[in-house]
Amino acid sequence: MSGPLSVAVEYQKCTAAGQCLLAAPNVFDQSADNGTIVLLDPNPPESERPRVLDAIARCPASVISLADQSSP
Amino acid sequence: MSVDNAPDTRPIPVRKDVGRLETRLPLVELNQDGKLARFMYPNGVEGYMTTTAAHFRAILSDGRFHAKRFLGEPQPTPVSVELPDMPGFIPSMNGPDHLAVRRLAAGDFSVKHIRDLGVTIEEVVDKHLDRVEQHGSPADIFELYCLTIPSEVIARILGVPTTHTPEFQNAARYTIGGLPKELDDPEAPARAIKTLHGLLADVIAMKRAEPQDDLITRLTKATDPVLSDEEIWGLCTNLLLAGHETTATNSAYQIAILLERPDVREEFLGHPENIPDYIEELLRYKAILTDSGAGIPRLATETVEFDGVVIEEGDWVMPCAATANVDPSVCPHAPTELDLNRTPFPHLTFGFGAHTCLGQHLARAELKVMVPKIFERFPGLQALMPLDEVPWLDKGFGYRMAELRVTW
Repeated sequence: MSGPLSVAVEYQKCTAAGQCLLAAPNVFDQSADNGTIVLLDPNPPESERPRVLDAIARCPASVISLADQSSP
Repeated sequence: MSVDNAPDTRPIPVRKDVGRLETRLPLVELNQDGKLARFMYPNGVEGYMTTTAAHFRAILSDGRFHAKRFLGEPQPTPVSVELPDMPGFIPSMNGPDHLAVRRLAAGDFSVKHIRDLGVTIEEVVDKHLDRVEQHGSPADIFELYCLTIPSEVIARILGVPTTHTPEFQNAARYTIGGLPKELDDPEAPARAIKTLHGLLADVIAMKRAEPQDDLITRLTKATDPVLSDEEIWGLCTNLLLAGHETTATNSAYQIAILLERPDVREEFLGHPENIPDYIEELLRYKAILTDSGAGIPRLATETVEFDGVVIEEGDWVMPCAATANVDPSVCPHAPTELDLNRTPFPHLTFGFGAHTCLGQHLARAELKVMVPKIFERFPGLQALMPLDEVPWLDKGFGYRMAELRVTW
């Protein structure tokens, strides 16, 4: 599939471990106040897919999902 | 899905020589079937232990298993640490309450905040290098360097004034029982907790009167939830304990490996650009605090059928990072060997789930300065004894190094 990705986050589950920012810094950031996930770009380009998948794998609280990706 | 009979319980194979390079808790050999193992700990408490990466992640992601650290109940542990229950102590909290309190401190341990702290860490490390140099060779760098840097950095993050820092650091050391020469006094940890209580109460009052740009001030201003002084004390003590012994032992162990293995040392120091990856491999190779079977156990709050085993309500499960990190399904190539040039993968030394180590970015930032810098300052650094003979203590959260005596 080509075209932009569709990324969603469940903020209420976020445990502020900062893994998403390390995996995909163009897509995620961490709030300076409480360390929780900030979704910088809900529709990043296809080229971000490997980094978003890495963020999903690293996230300790299963906060992130990719719309066309069956959840594990 | 069929449910097997519960696995046999056997005494946990605790290894007092956990620091030896080739030693690790022999769970890998004992549990080739990849099922939960059931152990009897030295204190008589039974519990399951995970032996694979998938089980480690699954137990720590499952809200039916609660963290119950330091609630006064007998727990599965091969080590001893006597701590009173403290309000605001997040390893004992679960669910939304846990996340809310954790988030109050999380901003100060975020990737960005820790990056900004880089200069402070360098400064603290340099000061300790000067101290080691002034002490002269030979020296115990566990006491003079590895143990004291983490508590000073935590003091800076919390906002403990420099006037109070030596007492803070001294109490920090006694919370885990002190150094070998000080271990005769069994009351020392309780007294240290009391000292920290008084000291932090003073600091909290100072911050309420004169707010500053530090974590304690931010905690005094928290609104969601509002924290009492007792909760701020408990949380700050928690942050100190979590970031103190852990980084002390890991830094000492990493320095000891480089002293022991000239090939590893040459590779490590010869490619400074790769040091962050090398630190990850060292953290994977020896998840030292859990290699002894220690960790933060989880309590089943209901009966759970877990991959063919029925875990009864009230049963303990110990998530074991040491076995998860050498699971061949995530680390296929010679998993029990140290290989600095391994393609890095997300090891589980910092845990998983809602309680994933809050201070992991700080720990990494400290290690990547502490480990190389001592070799830069003292190019002739040599261990006074082989790593296999370095003494270890079983007082604390896991086995910890008792001393690391070096010459230069």
